[in-house]
Amino acid sequence: MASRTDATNETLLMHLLDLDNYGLSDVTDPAKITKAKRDVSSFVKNEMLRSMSDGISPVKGEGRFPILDPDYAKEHKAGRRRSDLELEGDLKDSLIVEPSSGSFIRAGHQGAQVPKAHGHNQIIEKAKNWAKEIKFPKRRYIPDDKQVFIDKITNGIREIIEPLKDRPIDDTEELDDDIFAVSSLRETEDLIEVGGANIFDDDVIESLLAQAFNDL
Amino acid sequence: MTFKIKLDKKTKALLRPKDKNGLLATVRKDFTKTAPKQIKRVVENDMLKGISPVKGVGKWQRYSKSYKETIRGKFTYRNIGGKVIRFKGKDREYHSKASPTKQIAPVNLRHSGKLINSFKVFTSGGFLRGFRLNFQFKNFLADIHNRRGASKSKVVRRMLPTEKGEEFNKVITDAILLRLKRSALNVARQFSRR
Repeated sequence: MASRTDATNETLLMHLLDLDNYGLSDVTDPAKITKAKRDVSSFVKNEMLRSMSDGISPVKGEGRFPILDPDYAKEHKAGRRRSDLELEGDLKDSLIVEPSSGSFIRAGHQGAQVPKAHGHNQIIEKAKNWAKEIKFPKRRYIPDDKQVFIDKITNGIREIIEPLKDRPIDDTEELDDDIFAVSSLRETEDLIEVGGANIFDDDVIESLLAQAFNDL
Repeated sequence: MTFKIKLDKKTKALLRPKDKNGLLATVRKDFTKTAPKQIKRVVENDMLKGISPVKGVGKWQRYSKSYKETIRGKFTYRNIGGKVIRFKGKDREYHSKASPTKQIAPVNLRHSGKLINSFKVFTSGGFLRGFRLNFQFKNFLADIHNRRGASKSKVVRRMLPTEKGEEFNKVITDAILLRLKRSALNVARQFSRR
């Protein structure tokens, strides 16, 4: 089943992303499927928030959000005209990105913030007509049925799923999914510090060097 | 018949990668030159957007109503004799002396800038053994936000993965790996030149 967007009523605006399109069908271990869906959800949410904060749509083809009206920007955003869809934080706080049933994760809104989300995303006809009437600019951050997320997000989803795919088990091979594991910690009244060393192990650097020499 | 072959530094490094001037140490040295600064910027970018650097946390909880009012200039708070007293502020656009452009959203833990300016990313240990990348906040507010909780409602806003099993979010771990790959490529280029 393909990814789709459920935007049929005023209390739900939700994009259902099918991770089978990004390789989840090659993962059969239930624990790894759960991990994939959880990690992808966390990643997609952060990337959507980052994109929106930069005034750029996380939906492929939508580009930058239209800038803010200068008077609005002066009153509410210290004069900054970049639109980040954040005034009090209600909309972004209500953004849900979480595992759903089967191979799906869901990304969108449910409840009180849905009308506001509809106004920005303008997916349903009612929202489009309203926006056209009052000349409200479109700032879409939830893909409709035919759209996908930007390459940065879709590539990231594949990167998360790839190491979890089923592969022949080699006795000597250890699958280490902690690129940078925190191994040291200092906490005092006026200091917090964490450190990690595993990524700098000899075997990791040797492997990167071999790849680098190969690429030259 | 004996032959004497003089090895230059590069050849020595190639033949003995684990020596102090070997390839592995050279990669770590190269990483130390610019990577910590670049990785610091990646972490700061997330924090300034209100996104926790800790995996799975997502967006930081928003400011309390009273703090928002302080930012807006409606009220101000003074500590008098150990008690926090609220005064009516001058209702101007942005009243915070420390941060005239502070907005109520996103939550970026930046007011005077002392906390975020105390953030450091640096390497430690030897280039042969014990090499490590460290992330540090040196300010009393760090532990308050990260673990103990700020204000009356004790809101925790995780800044570093200090709890067991925690790690940085994907963008940060990807940035660390990317910088290390770049260092490996720099060193490979250096040693491939004749």
